[in-house]
Amino acid sequence: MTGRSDPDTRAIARAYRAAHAALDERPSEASRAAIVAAAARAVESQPHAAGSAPRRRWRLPLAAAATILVSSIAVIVAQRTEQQMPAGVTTESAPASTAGTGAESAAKEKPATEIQPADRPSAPAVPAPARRDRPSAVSRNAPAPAASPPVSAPAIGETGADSTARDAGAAAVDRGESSRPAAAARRQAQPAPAHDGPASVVEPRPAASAESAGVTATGKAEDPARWLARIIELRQAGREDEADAELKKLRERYPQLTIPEAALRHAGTR
Amino acid sequence: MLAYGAGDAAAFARLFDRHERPVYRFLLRSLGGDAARAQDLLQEVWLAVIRNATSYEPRARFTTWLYGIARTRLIDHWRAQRSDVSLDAANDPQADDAGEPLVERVAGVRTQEPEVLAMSRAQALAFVAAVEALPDAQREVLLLHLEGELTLDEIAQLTGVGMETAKSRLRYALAKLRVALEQWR
Repeated sequence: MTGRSDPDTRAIARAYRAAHAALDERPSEASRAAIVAAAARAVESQPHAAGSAPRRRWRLPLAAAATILVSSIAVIVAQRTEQQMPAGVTTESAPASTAGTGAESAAKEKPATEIQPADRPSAPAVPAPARRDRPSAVSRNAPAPAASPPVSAPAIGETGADSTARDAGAAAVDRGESSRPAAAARRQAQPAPAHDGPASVVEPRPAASAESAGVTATGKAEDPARWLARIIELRQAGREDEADAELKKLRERYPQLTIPEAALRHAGTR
Repeated sequence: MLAYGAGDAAAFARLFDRHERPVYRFLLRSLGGDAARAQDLLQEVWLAVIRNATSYEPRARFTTWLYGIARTRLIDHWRAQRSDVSLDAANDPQADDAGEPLVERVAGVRTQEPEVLAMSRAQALAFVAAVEALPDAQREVLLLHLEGELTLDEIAQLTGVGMETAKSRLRYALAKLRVALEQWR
């Protein structure tokens, strides 16, 4: 009696099913459709709530993760930019740090903008010494880096053979103020007055080689100051053809470099 | 049901297809064959299922839960129709069967199992009329057993009576129906 295994119960159950099969009782289609429609409406509304819950659950962590990611990228980019900036900043600030006279500072602003395209080929070798020499530029005792200042040096607007020769030497030398006293001291130490070309040409050479030593050590022979000094030497030695050839190369390499008179032609031919 | 609560519309379709007619018949027989009222209550039952889909917890079989809703709707309906009628009043199976001569007969009679029960419409109408004529408590247990396929234990829990009470009600109901069956054999 407690289960369907009971024959009495099974018999009644069969009779009951047979009766329903004979009567085929079922709810109307309208009633069925109303229930199904209600279920469909409920599903349409429920999934939004149920489906949006996981999205809401993820929304905040996702936003936080995105913020952190963007911030990290921004910091990395900023750090890389700072690391790359000193190269450009050095070439621009080095002349400013060595600015002495108004004429020089005026002239140095110009090369700062001019030097960038011209020095671009040698840029990889320049940043390291520039950064290394930054403290020494503050002390003003050590020679300034010879990368960019030489470009601005020839812009000094002096006229005359002496000044030209001296400018040529100064052009060969770095424009740093520290180099000037050293050159003056050397001039004073020399017995002959350095009023003419040869003396003035010879003079910058050690300074140039000293200041561009770092550059030379890296195998760079394209240092414009030294290059100019060599051209002046060639002209004073009467080797005009070679000087012209070197000058042509120099101009090709540094198209915006201001060439001093002494390098353009021999003093004696002027 | 859990799948439907999670938004699976197809799960509801499966549930509805499986239980729609049994629940309808449960209501129809309980209401004495009032098809219109049975359909109204059927909608109420399924709307209650839909409303409670998200909060449904499988503490018992879905069928037990479903027929519990149907039973509650029936009680509400009866209370609205006959404020003096209550299933609780018929909890005593002896009260239902007092003076019934079938009681003694049913206990020992075993009907031969029919190989095939091919009922005519008239026979079917007579049989369901016998079902509808059962006392409310007995009919309820019988219908929960036949339509909902609930066990006596589940019926007892659902109706709030003891196991033996549910068992007695079912026995009395079956005995009466057996008599009805014998009439057209």
